[in-house]
Amino acid sequence: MIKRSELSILIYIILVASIVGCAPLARRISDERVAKAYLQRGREHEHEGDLVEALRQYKLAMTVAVDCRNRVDTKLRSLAQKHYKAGLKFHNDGKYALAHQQFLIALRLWPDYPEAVERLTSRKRIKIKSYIVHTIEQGENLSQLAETYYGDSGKFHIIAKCNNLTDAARVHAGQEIKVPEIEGMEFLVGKGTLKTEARETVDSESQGREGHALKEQEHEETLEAEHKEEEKQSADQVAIYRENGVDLFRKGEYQEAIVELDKVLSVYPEDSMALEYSFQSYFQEGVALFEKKDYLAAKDRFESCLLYKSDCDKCHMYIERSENLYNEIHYQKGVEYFAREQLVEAIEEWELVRVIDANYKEVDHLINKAKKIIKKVEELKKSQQERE
Amino acid sequence: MGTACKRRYRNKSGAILWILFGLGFLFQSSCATLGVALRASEPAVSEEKSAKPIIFQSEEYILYLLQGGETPVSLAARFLGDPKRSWVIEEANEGTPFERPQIIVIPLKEENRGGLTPGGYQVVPILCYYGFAEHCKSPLCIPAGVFELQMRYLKDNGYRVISLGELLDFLQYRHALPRRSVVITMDGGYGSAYDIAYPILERYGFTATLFVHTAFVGTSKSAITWDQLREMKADGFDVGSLTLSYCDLTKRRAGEDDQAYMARIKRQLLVSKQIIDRNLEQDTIYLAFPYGSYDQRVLNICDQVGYRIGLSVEPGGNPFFADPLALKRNQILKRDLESFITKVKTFYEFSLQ
Repeated sequence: MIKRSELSILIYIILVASIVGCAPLARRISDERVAKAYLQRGREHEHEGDLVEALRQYKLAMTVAVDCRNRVDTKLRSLAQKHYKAGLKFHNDGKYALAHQQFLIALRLWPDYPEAVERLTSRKRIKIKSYIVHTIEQGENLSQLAETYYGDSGKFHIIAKCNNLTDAARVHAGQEIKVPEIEGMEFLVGKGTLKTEARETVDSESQGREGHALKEQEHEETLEAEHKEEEKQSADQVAIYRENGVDLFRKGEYQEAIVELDKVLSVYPEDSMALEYSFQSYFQEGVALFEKKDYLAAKDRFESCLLYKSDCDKCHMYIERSENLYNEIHYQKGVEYFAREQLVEAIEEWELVRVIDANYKEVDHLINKAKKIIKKVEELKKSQQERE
Repeated sequence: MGTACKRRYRNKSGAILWILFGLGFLFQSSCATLGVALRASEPAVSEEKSAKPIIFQSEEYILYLLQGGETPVSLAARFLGDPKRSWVIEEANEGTPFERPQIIVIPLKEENRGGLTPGGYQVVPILCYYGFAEHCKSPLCIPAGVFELQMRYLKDNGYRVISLGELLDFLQYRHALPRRSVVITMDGGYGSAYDIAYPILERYGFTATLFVHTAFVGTSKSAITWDQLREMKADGFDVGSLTLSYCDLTKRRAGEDDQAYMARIKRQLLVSKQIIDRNLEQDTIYLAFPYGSYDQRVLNICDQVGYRIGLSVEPGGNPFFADPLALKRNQILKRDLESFITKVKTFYEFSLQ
């Protein structure tokens, strides 16, 4: 029989036990359930064959309590190695697009796979001195070309990459193939037959750009179609600059017009419209500067005009007039300063004239004369100071 | 023992059993509130108000129980040491409501530096703008209103505007990028980049890289000035070279021999870099090719001169394995939003199973 006091003690013990025991139990349940939830998802992904996501979920589970990682990690690495090896085989066979895909898969499965990272991100460049253009004959392949030009059929990769081929076996009779001469590598063809223009290309083994070129054929075609319009637009960029230049010229913004037209001329140096409007822009700017009496700047613009039209008589006339007016103005200013006994300022003005034309109105003689006077004055001052 | 006594005993025993049962029930109920409830996307845990955040931690992950009031930014600052890396937490918990009592996954190691998935891979679009005006005539000019709409589209759709420096890390397989990363560039050195684009970009918290041909800077009323470039640089913008005089680097001049041509190209690349270096006190490593034109010999000179990123105008996005000196760029020439949306694709479908 339980006494009332015993019952009270029992209740007290149960209450304390419930309070103290509840928290860790809750924590334990929580840990287990969280871990289980991740494990369950990991198993589901593993079952579906999505090992990358499975590993992620197991890592999350492991964060809580359970280590499920090693098995899948090993499996993943082994799978990655399988894809990497497949990639190497494709590459050796000249199937570059397929090789690239396999390297990417390997890296997806094992993100720290050093060899796969190296394959995909190394961008070593090698120098190609020059190249010869070879037309493929019936039954000829790249290995034979490599044997002929390098004495080593295994070097067909160099030719394939130089020509951006996604598959080294895909060459046909009549196709023109560039065979590069590479610095430091024997080339078995006389230099007389080589193209003289030096070219350089990237390392056949590891060029990043090849990634785009090496995508499967159908991907390339889709991409090409998608961007057809944009390519057209980018090709028209020169036309846009030309149009901008003409527009700016019509608005009287000659300096801006020249900048835009220069862009056109950097691509098409003989572009007649750009040449004509550049000439006109310089000319109009020259006239405007001449009217503002900024003769030196005006002279500079008319001289630029001569680069576009060397027989421009008006330009020659303006250059002469600009020079004369510039010289006369500064000559007169010099005379005025001289009359006011401001010899230093007078010399400065005449110096400006002398830079343009040393013989202008004996300006050279005047400068020397002014300098002598200054010297004499200095000497007089000095002797006077000594006397004092 | 008498019957009365036995009945009393039974009654007492029954009462005790009932009390124990009741206590057990209470105990179970109280513990159940600490149990795990699973939501659609991520597991939730304790609803106990007084519980501290349950943090499970391994070398690679932290599992954090939201207490309320935390944001991806505050968690990134606390656990990743950089509030700007909030995208790491957002992307790791996509579809999970960010509210208590959810468990949030905080990855401590970079998970997918190449952006590779079974269905394809991440590509980073680089947008190429030229001039801006309130009203434009030329296709190389974007009206202010249209630019504003385009930036709003990026913001509203979760795009993150990254710098070319961040892109370079991605291209070297060093760091992952937010899934929806995009780079903004502006070519030509027009003053409108400062007058019109800069305030709009600031409004959205975006930055860009400006490419200038140095002979043009500060020379006309439509050209940007060095002071303006310095101001933008101080605000997180980058400045790169567009050569000295915006000349097509692949074109040889009439009568120019190979040596003279190479010397001219090198001068265009090197001197423009030196001028920018000097004026902005930086090491200029970004280059945009005038007209997007380059060839392998130009790339080699770029390498020698010290450029690390070269931008063409070949359309498309850039995966991590792209050549940093020959990146693609999407010119923004049209003004409709549909066309703009096609230029900001960040994923390339390609089987990697």
